[in-house]
Amino acid sequence: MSAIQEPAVKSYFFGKGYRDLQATIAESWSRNLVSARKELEAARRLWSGTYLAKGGAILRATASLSVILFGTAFFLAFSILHIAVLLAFFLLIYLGFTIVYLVERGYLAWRKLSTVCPECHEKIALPEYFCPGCGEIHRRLIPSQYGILHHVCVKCGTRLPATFFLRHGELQARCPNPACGYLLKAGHVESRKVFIPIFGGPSVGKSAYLFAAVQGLAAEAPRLGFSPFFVDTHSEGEFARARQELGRGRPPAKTLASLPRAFSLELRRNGQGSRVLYLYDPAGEAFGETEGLVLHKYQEYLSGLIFLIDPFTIPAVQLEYQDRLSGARDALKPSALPAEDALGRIFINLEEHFGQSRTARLKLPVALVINKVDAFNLEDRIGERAVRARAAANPTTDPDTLRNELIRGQLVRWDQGSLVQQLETRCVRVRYYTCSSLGRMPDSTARPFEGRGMLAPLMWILGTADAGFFQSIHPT
Amino acid sequence: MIGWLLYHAAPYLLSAAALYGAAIALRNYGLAFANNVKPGRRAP
Repeated sequence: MSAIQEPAVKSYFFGKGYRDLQATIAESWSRNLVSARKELEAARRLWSGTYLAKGGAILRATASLSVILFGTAFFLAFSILHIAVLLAFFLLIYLGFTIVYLVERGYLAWRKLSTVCPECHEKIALPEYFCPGCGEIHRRLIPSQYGILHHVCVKCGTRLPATFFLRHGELQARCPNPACGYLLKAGHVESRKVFIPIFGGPSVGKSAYLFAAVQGLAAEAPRLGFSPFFVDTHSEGEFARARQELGRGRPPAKTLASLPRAFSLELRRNGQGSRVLYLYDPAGEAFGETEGLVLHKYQEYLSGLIFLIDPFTIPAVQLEYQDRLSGARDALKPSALPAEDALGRIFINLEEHFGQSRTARLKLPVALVINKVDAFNLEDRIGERAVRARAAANPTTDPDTLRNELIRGQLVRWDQGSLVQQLETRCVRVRYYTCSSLGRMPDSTARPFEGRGMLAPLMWILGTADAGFFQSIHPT
Repeated sequence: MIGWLLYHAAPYLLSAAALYGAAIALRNYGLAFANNVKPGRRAP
């Protein structure tokens, strides 16, 4: 394996110090030879003279010999001293950068700070940083032989912070994956993250859910006690476009990528730091083939999972609403993939590619969310209106329990017992929710879409995955 | 007389010559050190 050539100036005691020692020895020897030759020459000249001059010649010859003898002795003694000093500093610096590096890695692990590329979804141990002075790429900007706290760029001499503690994450960075190279923003690098993919078959409304949830999060942020910020311009642009479309009564464009770029949003709380929320919206077509799911690398580090289902894929629902469904089919766009199949494929993928055993239970919070409850009278049957009615009749029971019972019971009545059983057998923490990511049935008008019910499942997952940060957040 | 003086002074004169040679060797090492040893990290 060839070592990566870092474009930084190496510590003096790791390279140049030894070259300097070598040059010192060579020069002192060359000077000694010149001096000895000079004395010998003088002795030769004096030897042909008087007796007194001959005496002088003997003295000069002695001096010449002495230069060689003492030159050797000094070279030996000073070289040993020089090497000892170099080695002492070498060890001190080695110890210094090892300690700073270990403390930094320990701190990052303790605070659960990591770097994940929103483009290729690789967990990155060390991003590649650009020199702010000349744009040179520094691949190993860590405490090392190139500097404990700073590296000096070999091209332009700019001092680059080499540790998290000096905020090297604020430098422009990129993903080190050669096939990716995505430009990472400060929020992507060494920050605490929450990863939530929105799974579900095609046309269940995942994209609309994502944007409506972010819109809800932004609107509710002051009340929930944090401030949302877009980490990158891509997410900001995508959100602005989707908000514009939703505002004009048009559903957001269909996701085409089965391995989508993460939608990243930073949530900051005063005095409590921040969390970067990575929301993923893979194309529903990926669920048609388990192979497609292999690409969803982020399953390795999930914080929770939102499993969105379209009630109109359920045969019992189709049968119940058959008289009205034929007229609303274009507006509802029922998903073609049964929810049970989509869920089954997620589990198969976890078993085949992430070592999840068939009997193991997923400890992550999983929210099953029935979308499109704005259609017909679903809101009155399983939506929040129905939950409120139940809560009024059972004031002592927790509304979350009532919601779970209501939706779970209805799914069973709709012959989805095996879906419920599969979910509850394989997952430790499951909750049931309903939502309408558009807020109304799409029609030819330009009335804005105003989704509802997206925030509750998201907040439950956030609160479960990171209770310390999200504990006081309770969406209405 | 001169012979006696030379006999007794010779060791001192030779020692002085050797010391002179040692001083030259020391100066040479010092100059070589000053010319070559430049610690610090500077970009070329």
